[in-house]
Amino acid sequence: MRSYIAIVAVLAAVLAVSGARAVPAATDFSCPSSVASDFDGMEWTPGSGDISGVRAPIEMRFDGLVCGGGPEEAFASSWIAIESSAGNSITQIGFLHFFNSVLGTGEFCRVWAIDGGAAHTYGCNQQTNHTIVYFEIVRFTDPSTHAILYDILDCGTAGGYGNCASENSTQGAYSSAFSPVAAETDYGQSACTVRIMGSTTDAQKFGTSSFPIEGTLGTSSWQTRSYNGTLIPTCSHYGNTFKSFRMWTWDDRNS
Amino acid sequence: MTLARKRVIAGAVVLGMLLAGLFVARLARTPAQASTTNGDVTTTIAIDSVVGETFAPPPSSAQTSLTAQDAWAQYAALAGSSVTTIPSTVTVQLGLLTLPVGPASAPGTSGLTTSNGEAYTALNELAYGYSWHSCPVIMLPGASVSPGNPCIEWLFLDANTGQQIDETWQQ
Repeated sequence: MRSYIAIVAVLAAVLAVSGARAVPAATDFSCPSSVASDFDGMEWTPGSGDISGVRAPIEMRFDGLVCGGGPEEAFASSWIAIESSAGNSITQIGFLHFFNSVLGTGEFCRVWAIDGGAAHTYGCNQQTNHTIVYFEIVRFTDPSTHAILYDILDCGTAGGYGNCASENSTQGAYSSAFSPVAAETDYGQSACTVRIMGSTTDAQKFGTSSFPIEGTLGTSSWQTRSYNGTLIPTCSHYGNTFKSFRMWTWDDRNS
Repeated sequence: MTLARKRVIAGAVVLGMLLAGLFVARLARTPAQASTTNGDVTTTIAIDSVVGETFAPPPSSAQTSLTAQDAWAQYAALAGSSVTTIPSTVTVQLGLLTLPVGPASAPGTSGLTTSNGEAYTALNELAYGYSWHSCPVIMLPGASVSPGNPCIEWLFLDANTGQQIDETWQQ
């Protein structure tokens, strides 16, 4: 009996030392078996629905954790957007921290999406922690086709919106729209598996004192708008504060 | 059957299970290397029909400065990943990537490639396309992966510089 117990103990120790785990070290934890989208942010919902532009600087943050092995890739994103009032199409740009299942690690990228919201990432793993990137979405008319479209712009890190590069300008403008600005994850809610970016002592910033979150309505000029905290997360670890037309978001498990 | 014999059999069963577990764990940590690309793209693949992104067959004369393995290793290192050899679960193809931006008249297109009134992030750019099974990141509130989604993730790296062009999900 003693020899049997010894064999089991030795093999268990060998297995433990081998570091066997379903998910590589970069996550150290697995996603649940179902997706649980959660949002931490606010919305601007003008009565006319005639939003023609939104813009804000967003701070890149390397804190947060994403899980591996779920039914879809885990992510934590931070973005500005114009969304159709019907809720069936979105035009957005910002940052994405997502789990790459074949690399076995999380990637930090810039990201844009249109229509159904499938992500297109760029600049992955070339971001810098705490760097502020200026993002803008504007409505314009294509002079050759007269189509009214949204232009998704990455205005870089220099400061302001004077030198922007278009990432996509094919989304047809919505007849009525609102503007969410949010941190988002696909594994939040009560299980609250993913840690979004930012901490209680060093939150992720949307907007700065010099460049607050702004919008345009119809043909009006850029100005601060009536965003309010209507995207309240279910996960109790996620938090946000909104004042002076800036938003801070965090996960209280980050340090 | 004697008690001693039962113990020997039980021990063997436990030993076998533990060794199998160890073997599976090792496999998971050390992916097999794909020795080269799985070939050139033979017919144009619609990567994202919403934005018009395509991956087309390369010319027969196409030359690359980097191998698919070199480009992958470079990208993996940048990501801080230890998976520097292409896993066997990844399919690699050489092709021409086209990722349209939209009308060349749109703001912010001055630094982009333009052709026939359209601006492009990539226009017939020689690229390695790495693809594997993965269901997409969907950022539209309330939306989920549709039942018909092929759940294929694509990473496109320039075949000469190794620079990332786009990472997305086929739809």
